[in-house]
Amino acid sequence: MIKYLANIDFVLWNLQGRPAVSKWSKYADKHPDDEQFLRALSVMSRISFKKPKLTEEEKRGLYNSIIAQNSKSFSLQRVAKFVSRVAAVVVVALIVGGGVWYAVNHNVNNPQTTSAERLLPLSSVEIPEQVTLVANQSPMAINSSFMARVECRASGEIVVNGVSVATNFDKSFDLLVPKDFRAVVTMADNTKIWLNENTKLRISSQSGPKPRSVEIDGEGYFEVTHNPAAPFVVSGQDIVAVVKGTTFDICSSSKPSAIQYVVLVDGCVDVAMPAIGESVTLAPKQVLNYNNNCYITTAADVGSYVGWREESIVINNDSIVEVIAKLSEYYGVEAHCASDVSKAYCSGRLVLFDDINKTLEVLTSIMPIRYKWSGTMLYIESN
Amino acid sequence: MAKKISHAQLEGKSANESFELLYNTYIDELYAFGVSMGANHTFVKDAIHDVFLAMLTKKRDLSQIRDIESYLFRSLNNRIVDGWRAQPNEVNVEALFSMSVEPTQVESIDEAWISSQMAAHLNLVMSKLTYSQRSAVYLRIMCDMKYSKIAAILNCTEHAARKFVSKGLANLRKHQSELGKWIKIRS
Repeated sequence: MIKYLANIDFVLWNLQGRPAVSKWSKYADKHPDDEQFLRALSVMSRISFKKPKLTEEEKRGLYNSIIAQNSKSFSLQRVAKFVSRVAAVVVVALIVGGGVWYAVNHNVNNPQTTSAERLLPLSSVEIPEQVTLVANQSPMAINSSFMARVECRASGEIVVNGVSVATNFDKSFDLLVPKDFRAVVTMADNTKIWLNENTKLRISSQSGPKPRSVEIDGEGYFEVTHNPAAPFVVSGQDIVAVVKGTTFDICSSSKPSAIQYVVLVDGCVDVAMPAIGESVTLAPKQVLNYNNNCYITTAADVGSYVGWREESIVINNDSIVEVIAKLSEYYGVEAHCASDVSKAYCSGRLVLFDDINKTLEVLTSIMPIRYKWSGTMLYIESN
Repeated sequence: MAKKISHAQLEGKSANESFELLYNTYIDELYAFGVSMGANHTFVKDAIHDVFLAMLTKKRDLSQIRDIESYLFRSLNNRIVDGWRAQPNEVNVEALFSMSVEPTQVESIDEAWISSQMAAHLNLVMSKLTYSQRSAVYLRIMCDMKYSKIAAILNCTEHAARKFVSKGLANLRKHQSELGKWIKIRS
């Protein structure tokens, strides 16, 4: 079998979809019982060229950005209108923007603000290699394989992955999520925020009678607890979403020329764009795309935006033992691998089902292992 | 490979309609080409943005472009090469001809393991090619382009395009033939 797999022409013939004109198609016809050849075909049938692809929203966003930039480049009348509109709203935008910034960063209901509260702008904060919680400018690395869970309780307690890390905490803090990691934050009012990789979230102090507010640089999926008396404000780089109880996804980046968007799953959200003095109320299954002071609102295939929330882990040439360790941590079960468990390695993305057995079924279908339970202990053996 | 757009198909369409048709037809192939060459995902998006914006804002008379597909690929290729001249270390090795393995049921678990090792080895082998060889092999093998078109995209003679492909395949043959040693060691 190896003699075929080591032949680049055989490999390329497979990657091209086995065109009939090739000598290998003729060879296959002439040698239908060549077992080694058939095994090599079976191995290659599972390998395909992973064609890099833009998502539909990335394609749409890029298209909209090109059209928007092209539209900006002409019409004096449009420029004049734009200038007058900016002049009319610039004072209001400064007050609103300044007020939100001041309220978020200075905690106006607490006169005892200290210098520790004067935080770096979120866009300037570097994301370290591990999920990190930064409070009082002190970073605390969260030791988890891929998904960190943070709870902010009404008592002021902060719980990370089930362990209490702070009590009576009433200040702002940052949660930094690097590549290949995710995090989920539960706020004191039961609002839940899922954070995608490469995302920074700043949660303002939850004590005192002030609007619930967070700042985000990256992507987050929000399920906001309904409270008409206390709007929930999510501030991105150039877009601000104000909600009273809704489910939506926001992607906002401080990187230049990044396309920012808000997609509404359910409920109602107002999206303000202070730089251009505009505000839009989205309906469910609508998306607002913003880039370079231009925006467009369209219907959205919600699933394509929020699919990243599906809980999964990236396996990057990990051994079976390493994969089992990740599952053990995620599901909170003790696991033991027999010493003769294969040293085989694998790569890919493993979806994490609610039921660990379903996840194990997938894993055992592709790796030479089997599993069994003894009480609450999981045993992994070589197959 | 993307369905090709001829000038006849653009006749009677407004500039915006023509642009939309070209964008939707070629965006996937352009992006796949840029990232498969090792350019950073964001850089490729920005480069594609510039290619199409230039086409739109400069009101390029498309009838003067003999081969629209070659024009788009060549513009993108030029931007990628220019970008690397400015930042030579920005090659995304992981994206070079990236292979994936289908997690389907197999008759033999060994084959599943060998498939994953093959995919990793192929990624490694592809990374040994020069940019010109890699792009020429990609356009010839994966996109089934003629040498004349490859030459137009890579801004070289047809003879040079043939040399890039043949040298690229020769390098692949040499490195792939070492697979037997590699899999034996790991099994």
